[in-house]
Amino acid sequence: MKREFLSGNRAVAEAALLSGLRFYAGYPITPASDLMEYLAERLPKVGGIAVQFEDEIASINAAIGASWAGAKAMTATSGPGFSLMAEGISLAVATETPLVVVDIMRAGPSTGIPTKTTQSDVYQARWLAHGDYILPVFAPWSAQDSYDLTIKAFNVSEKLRTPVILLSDAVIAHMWETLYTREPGEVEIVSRKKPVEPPEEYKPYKAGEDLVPPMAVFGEGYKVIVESLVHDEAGYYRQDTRTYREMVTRLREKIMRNIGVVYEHEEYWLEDAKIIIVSYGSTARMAYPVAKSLLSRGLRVGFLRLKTLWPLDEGKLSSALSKADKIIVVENNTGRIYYDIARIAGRDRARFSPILTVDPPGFNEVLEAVSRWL
Amino acid sequence: MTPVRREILIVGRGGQGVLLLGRLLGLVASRYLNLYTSASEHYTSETRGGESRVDMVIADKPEEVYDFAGVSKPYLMIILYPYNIGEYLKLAREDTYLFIDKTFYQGEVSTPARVYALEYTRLAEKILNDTRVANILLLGHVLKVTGIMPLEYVKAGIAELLNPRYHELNFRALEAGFNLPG
Repeated sequence: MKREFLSGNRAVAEAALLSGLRFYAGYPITPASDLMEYLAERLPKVGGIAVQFEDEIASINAAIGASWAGAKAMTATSGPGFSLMAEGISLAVATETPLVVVDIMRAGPSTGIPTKTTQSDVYQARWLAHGDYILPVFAPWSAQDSYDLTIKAFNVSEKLRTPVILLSDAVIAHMWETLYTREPGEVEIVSRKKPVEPPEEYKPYKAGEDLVPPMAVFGEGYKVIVESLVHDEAGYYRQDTRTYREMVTRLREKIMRNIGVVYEHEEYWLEDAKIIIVSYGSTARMAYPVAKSLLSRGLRVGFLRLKTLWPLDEGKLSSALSKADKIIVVENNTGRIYYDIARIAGRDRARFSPILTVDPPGFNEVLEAVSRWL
Repeated sequence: MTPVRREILIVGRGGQGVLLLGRLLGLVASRYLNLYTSASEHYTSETRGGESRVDMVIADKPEEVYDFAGVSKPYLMIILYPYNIGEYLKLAREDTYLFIDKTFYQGEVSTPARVYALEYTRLAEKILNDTRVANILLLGHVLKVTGIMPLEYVKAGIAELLNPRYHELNFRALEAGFNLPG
């Protein structure tokens, strides 16, 4: 372990390198450009490649290709570029391609305000692409969390053969902070499972008990099919309900069966809390001290920070929130996680405190937004 | 450094090394003093000339930096160029150490803070024949006056952050600032 002073974006890059990143593809966009700039220097030094492509469509498809060639791959962008990656993400889901996509949120819609943040891409991260699928979304609130959740994003993507979204934002990305980085061997690094059977017996989409098919890559003597159409275990296109149902169900179940690995939240002072403040990402940075301050004033306030924004472990969340009379969701948008909490905890207990700001919210701003429900 | 929560504001013009000062202080605090730091950088799209600013907090516990949204009670203010100086001076308090580069500001400094106003850029030119290290010379003076960080740790930080060909010049600048009257 080593103490460092890094920005959120550099923390993502360093964690990606530790996780085994060997191919980065991207197109510059504020506030994600410096991540690519940093990797353009760092990746070649560990035998990897960082390429600037002509746009985000090419970038994500190149990253998918690299993953199928056996390299751990990543791309990073912001809202407008993320929109262009929709088709690629769908392709990665259907072909079960391990891949990390970093979305550094900025204010939107459209080109919005490039240098300022909001938290308006939460649903975009979950459901950007077409089709019936589920993919993990992680949201860091510090440079340390950017580092740790990037390692987790790679591990989950490799373990479950799925694209994973790291949903950071402009504040976290450009905040410089103290963090602990790891040396190789100090943290578990997961790599995709490879086939053990001989090539003639291998079926590229045949899964075992864990519902995750072993992944042969190009050049290892196995027959590899990167099939975007609905396919059977052999990777052949099928148009029947049974194959479709099996494929879509397995794609979902391989994630949900591992919800205990994928889902994470942090709890503070929940034991006796009658009011729980729920937040995530950069907004949580101010919701946390507001909760702490209210607690010190004698109010029975707790704080819950979501690290995983999708899928949610509804049982775990429901249990954590069960004793509270009110659950106040603080987020920098017009309502995203609030609707999940209202569904899970009930509309009668859920309250919404939107912080619509393009600058990091101040203590008093969050306190005022929360106070209306106290 | 005494383990407390301290806010630091650094303001200047793009090209003066404002962000470098922030990264240097953050690195030394994080790695050599085992403290926790959170900092935000602000700059304009011009390569040179626009306002650059670093807002930083240094504390002994990680949770002490979570609520940092910008400097409001500065322990240390470094003004390398007087952009919006009137606004920034309003933040200064009696226990604030305020360092101003008088090369670019001859106006009155009306503040309850402890003021150290010298022509750091002219001094850098005179002593080191290079105005680029005015920021590090000023930092040397900050170390002398406040004792916020040991000189040797800052030298180690410089050695980590900068290209080796600039180490010697910056070490000399740091020492020149440290040798100024406290």
